Amino acid sequence: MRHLAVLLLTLPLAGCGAFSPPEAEFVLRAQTEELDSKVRTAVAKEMDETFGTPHALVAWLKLPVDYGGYAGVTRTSKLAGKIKSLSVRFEDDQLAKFTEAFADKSGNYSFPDAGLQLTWLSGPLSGTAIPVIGYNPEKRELALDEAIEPHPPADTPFVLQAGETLKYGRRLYMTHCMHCHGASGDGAGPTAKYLNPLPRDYRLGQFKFKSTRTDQKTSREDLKRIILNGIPGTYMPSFLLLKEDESHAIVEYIRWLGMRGELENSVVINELRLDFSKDAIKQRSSEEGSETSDEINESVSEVIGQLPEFFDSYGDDMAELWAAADEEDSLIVPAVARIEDSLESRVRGRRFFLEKCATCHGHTGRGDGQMTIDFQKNTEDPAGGLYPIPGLHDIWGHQVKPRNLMQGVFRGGRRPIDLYYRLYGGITASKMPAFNTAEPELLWDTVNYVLHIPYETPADKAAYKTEDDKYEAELKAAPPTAEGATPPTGEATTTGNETP
Amino acid sequence: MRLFWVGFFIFWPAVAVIACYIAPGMNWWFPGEAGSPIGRQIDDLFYMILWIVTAVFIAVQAVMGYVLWRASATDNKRAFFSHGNHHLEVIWTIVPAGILLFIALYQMDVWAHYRIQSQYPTEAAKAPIAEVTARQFEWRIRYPQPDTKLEIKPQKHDLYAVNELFVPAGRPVMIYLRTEDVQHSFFIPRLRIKQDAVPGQVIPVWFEATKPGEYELLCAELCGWGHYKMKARVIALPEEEYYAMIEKLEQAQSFDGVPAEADDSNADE
Repeated sequence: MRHLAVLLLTLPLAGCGAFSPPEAEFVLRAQTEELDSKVRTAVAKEMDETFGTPHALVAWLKLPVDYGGYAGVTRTSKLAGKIKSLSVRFEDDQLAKFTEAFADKSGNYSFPDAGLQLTWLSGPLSGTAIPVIGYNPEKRELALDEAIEPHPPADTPFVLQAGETLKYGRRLYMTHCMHCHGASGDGAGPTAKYLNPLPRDYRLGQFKFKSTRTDQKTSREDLKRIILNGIPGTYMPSFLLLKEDESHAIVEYIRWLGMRGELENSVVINELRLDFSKDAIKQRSSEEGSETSDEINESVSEVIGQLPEFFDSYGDDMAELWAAADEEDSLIVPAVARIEDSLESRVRGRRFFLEKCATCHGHTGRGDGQMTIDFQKNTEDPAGGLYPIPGLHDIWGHQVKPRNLMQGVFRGGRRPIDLYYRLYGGITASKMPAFNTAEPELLWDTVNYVLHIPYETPADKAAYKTEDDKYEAELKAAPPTAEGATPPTGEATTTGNETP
Repeated sequence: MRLFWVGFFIFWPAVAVIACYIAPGMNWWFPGEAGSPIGRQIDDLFYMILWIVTAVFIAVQAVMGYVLWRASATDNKRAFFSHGNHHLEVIWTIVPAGILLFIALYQMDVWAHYRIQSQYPTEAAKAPIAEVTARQFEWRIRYPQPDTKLEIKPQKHDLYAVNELFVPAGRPVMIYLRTEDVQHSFFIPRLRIKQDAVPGQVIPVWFEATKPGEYELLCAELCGWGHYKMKARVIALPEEEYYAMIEKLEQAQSFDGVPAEADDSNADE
């Protein structure tokens, strides 16, 4: 009997040890793994220092991410003696946030039992953290748990609860998103292999459904919209019941993961892959007139020395792009309001559709255009080969199907403006071109036509047929110009802004 | 020793009965007050059955206590073997059968009211307010355009939403329930409504939220690894606010990205 009791006690404990999930970790990109081992190790180290691990995140202040916490500076210049309170100054917005989080109605501040962590950003104590147990709003003083010495000079910046939002985002991400999108945001979580389409791999810093201009990043609003509404037609469900601060934290964490992956990708692809991959090193030492191993070692140490510089400069460029996405002028605002949905408008829209969209989406919008059966050039392949399977491919190298518009399912949203965003901005990450040079009226006509595809009536079809006949008759009447007239249903007609 | 064992077998049922008796007041286990008239009827059935079961439970325990007491007596009486006793067999077949038959007949009204088509509240059945499509792992909702009827086939001006179902409070409403993939179950605990969504079928479901407020909507059929995520809210609004909300939804869905002022200036030209 006693044995049984012992057994019953130990079984649950043993269970915890044996079946606990593997530790979450950030994995490196395949291209990084292909680098020469010394370079790879250096990149891994640099990534760790810049972004940390899932358990010890690093906030790189260069990036436009709201890491959370409440920033302030010290006010006094008193330097001598041990002190247990700090005179501080918060900017108005920081103070408002701080008050909202910790003050009750009568203006008394109460903190969690462990206190708040105050992290010094510079000065003699830079990088260290101390617990804060209270705040006196009249005196503007933070009460410390233990006396500190020396007192940091005036205007020393600090953050209370540094990285709070990012950590909260990480926790929520691990609960809600990691299954599919993976701990590193590589779209390769445990359930990813059962899904079609695959979950997004954030690490190129690209998202498909955005309201910003063609070459711009996705905005915070766009990501939030996707998280709250889900993506119909894919496995991304809606997380509408998340609270405001929860969705904000997840958005920040996803942006941060995106930037993390994008920076690694930029440095490896642009600076390292060509000369320092395992294959490249082998080639450099084996070819005729090859470099000696000393020369190669020297260049390897040189490039490793340059890594912090690469991270810094690519980080600057990337930070600028991401920050710009949330600026007001990045948002696509149609030059004219929507053209009223009428048969005439749809007939005009259909003509545009047949000329520009039908090569991929098919003449009736069923997503069965010519491009879906042609073999396409692999833009990622330096040798310029074709993809092994026919059809269009996105920047992640996966086959991508043009939407079947008969189904009336619109992944990026079904409001007229959502369709306008897709037409005007294109979908940079897949092969959908941007039609930002077309007349906005014509784009609205096309939106009207596309929204109507699932609901076409015999009257619509008759009107379309009449217009087709008229169009063909006009083509026959007008002799082809030197450039050739555009056949109504022929090859793709590329405009200047269309990407191959 | 004799007293101990008899006491022991009587003590636990007594604890169970007392615990069940005080549980509703202490907010333990019991489902709380139902938020709809049919919910209250369903609760009445539940409590009636609970009382029957309690009575049977107490009777069985009392008899068992008595038997223990008698059997452990030291007066050396011979035991009485009842095995194969025709009268006893008849009694304990007829009595439970009677109870079951009573429950079966007694609940028919409530069941019919909830599930039989001809008994549906007429107004609600005439104009279903929305189609709810379950999908791994969310609830997609399609409302008809204001002033039109909900059709089984999607219409051009239908309004779409996800994980948030608005209903008018204080009157019965009907939805069409379907599923896009596997079997799900539409469960609003506070309204005591639970209906499986079956692939290939459109199932009318009616319910009523007496008071305006937010009600939890859950999936009650294990539908895949993300089953636990499949949570939405039903928001019951006073009639006028409900129509205002649907109108707002319509405006949001026809948004063309041009700020309102710009719209005005265009209209002036």
